[in-house]
Amino acid sequence: MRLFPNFDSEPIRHPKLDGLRSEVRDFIAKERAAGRITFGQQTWTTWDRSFSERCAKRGYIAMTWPKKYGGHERSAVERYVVCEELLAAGAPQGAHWIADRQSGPQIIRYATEAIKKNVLPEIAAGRCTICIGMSEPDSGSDLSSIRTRAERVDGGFEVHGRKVWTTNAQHSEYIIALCRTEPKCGDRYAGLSQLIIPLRTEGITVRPLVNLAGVEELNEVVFDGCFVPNDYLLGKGGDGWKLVTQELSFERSGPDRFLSTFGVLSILAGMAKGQADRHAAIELGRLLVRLSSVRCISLAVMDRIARNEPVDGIATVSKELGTSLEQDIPDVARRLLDIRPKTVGSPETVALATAILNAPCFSLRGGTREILKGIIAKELGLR
Amino acid sequence: MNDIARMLDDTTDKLLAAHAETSRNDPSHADLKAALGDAGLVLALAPEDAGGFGCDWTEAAVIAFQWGRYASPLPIVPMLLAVRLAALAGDMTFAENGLAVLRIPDAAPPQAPLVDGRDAILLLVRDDENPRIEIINATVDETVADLLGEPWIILGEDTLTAVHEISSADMITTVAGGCLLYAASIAGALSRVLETIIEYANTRTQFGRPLSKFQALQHLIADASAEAVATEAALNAGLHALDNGTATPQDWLSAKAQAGRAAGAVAASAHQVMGAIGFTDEHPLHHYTKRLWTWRDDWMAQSRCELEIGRNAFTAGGNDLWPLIVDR
Repeated sequence: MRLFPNFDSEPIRHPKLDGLRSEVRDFIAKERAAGRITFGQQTWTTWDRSFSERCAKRGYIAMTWPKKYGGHERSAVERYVVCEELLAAGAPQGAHWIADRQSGPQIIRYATEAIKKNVLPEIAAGRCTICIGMSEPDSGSDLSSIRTRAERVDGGFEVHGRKVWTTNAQHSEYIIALCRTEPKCGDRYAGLSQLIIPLRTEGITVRPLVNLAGVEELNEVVFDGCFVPNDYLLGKGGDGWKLVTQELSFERSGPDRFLSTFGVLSILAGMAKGQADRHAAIELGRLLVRLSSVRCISLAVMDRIARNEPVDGIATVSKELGTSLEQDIPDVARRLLDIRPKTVGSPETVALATAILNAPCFSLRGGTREILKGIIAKELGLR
Repeated sequence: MNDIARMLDDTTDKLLAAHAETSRNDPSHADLKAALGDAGLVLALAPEDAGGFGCDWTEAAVIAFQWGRYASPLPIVPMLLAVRLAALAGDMTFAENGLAVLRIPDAAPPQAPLVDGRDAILLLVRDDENPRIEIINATVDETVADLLGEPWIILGEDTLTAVHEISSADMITTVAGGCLLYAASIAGALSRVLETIIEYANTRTQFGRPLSKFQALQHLIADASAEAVATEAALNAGLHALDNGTATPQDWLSAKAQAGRAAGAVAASAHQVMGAIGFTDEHPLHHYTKRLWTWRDDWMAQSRCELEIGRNAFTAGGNDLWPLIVDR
């Protein structure tokens, strides 16, 4: 995980991209003026297909993908800039976020050509939401214990089982589900496979679950013998664990893991101006130190991915530090501002309430804090 | 990184492997000073036409990093910076006998480590209206001692021997460079401390198993390491920006404050992992933790960095907070 000194690789010189930033900021300003962004109350899980379609028209989805799949063949850092600008503005990116961040790249690497041609252009157009089928009622952190099974049948698989806490499944076109394709043997990570399953299929029931903030965002997805053709298998049968681990590195290192409550930070910087004493300035400064530092890690991961260097450990550090920060921001704001959180009230009080009510999930989704620390410890050679 | 950085790393490593330990028991640090003089490392930041290496900040930071890895005596960062200030002041004699100290007008009076043969204090005055270097002969009637017991002087009404006006850009770059060099020393010490406690956790057995098998300790060390990773990331980005002329105060203030944050967190965790042996001088850990606790408040104190970042943010206000962080 050593980042300095690094004698083995030259730092990547990124272009400044001021033009791209201001282009995204103009878009955000127009969306805000039209009342389409509710500042401080929406995040990258907030589902709004029309917003995603407008992002797509501007080329803000599938930015790095090949053009033949609807992508724009732009650089990783250009994508990063667009993502972080939209996140900092609190834009509702839930209809495309997961597909753009991890499902699309998985499909590019591991799906059949037919699936790529069907699915990727739809994602790029902002018309296709994909959800992550990992957790199950009895498998949270212990992911290898999943019981959803995909049995080989003529021409494909028959899937039985139940996935839960699945973000935006009720709006999704596809779920990428981790299934057991071989019976469990000595190696608990063997015999797992990922299937990309169309959700509007006979034999699948989706039931929304209400989260702490009173929003129907998580779901239960029940597979009752639905048929999935062979074409929808990602990679080779039995590759599931490897694919999931790779996918999680993408999932853990992005700016979505430290900007979820940035709106509250902006409110803090704006509201406390008149009453900002030394104490308040130091408190806000401490949060911004953490924000800048974790952003540096996140960008370092991006560069490492570009150089094909291992990122598992450092991506995990990025998420752990980022989500701790996201959780601490509402608490500092609560103490420095003389406001109380309200689910109905002024924009500031509702933003604070939104942050407080969503904060617990930051260190759960994408790997719990405890699992992440275990991964870091392993990487450090603690044995 | 280039061959120069690699060479500086290797030279500093060998030099400190030979002299750091003995220098701890010799208050004059004569051997270390002589070896350092022979290697010419202190001249890293001097321009080549002034007999130096003409290093950029990233290269100089490699020396500071190694200094941290050995928790070595002698204040390397004020010595490296003195050379730069001497060059800015146009008098290279101060490269040999000077120590750089930062004075911030609305902060506490500056302090300087007392080092034999380094009597000229080069005060970089962070005055936006009138950026300057004040050269003073420090009076040493009264000294204080830091956490390691090393002597310091608090600079008050000392004899001003010369004033050199410098450009605002040179002042800011040097303030920034000082922050990053201290962050590098801290990062070096962090890396050694983490290696030490990981090794200890893997070998020390209690209740019939190594400490590393206990999840509570795995998590403690994972947390400490995460802060060190954040420090290296911020340091690396800050150096890159400073050398390329794109650095903003957010970059270098964050790097120094993050280093300070990590210094405190890693030192605390290290003492917890090492147990009683680490609380005695029979184990070298204390050299590292005491330096960490000192460096985090040197040049620009951790809280001063946080304060300035916070003030900048309140001045920017809600809408301009994000640009303050990312715009270059």
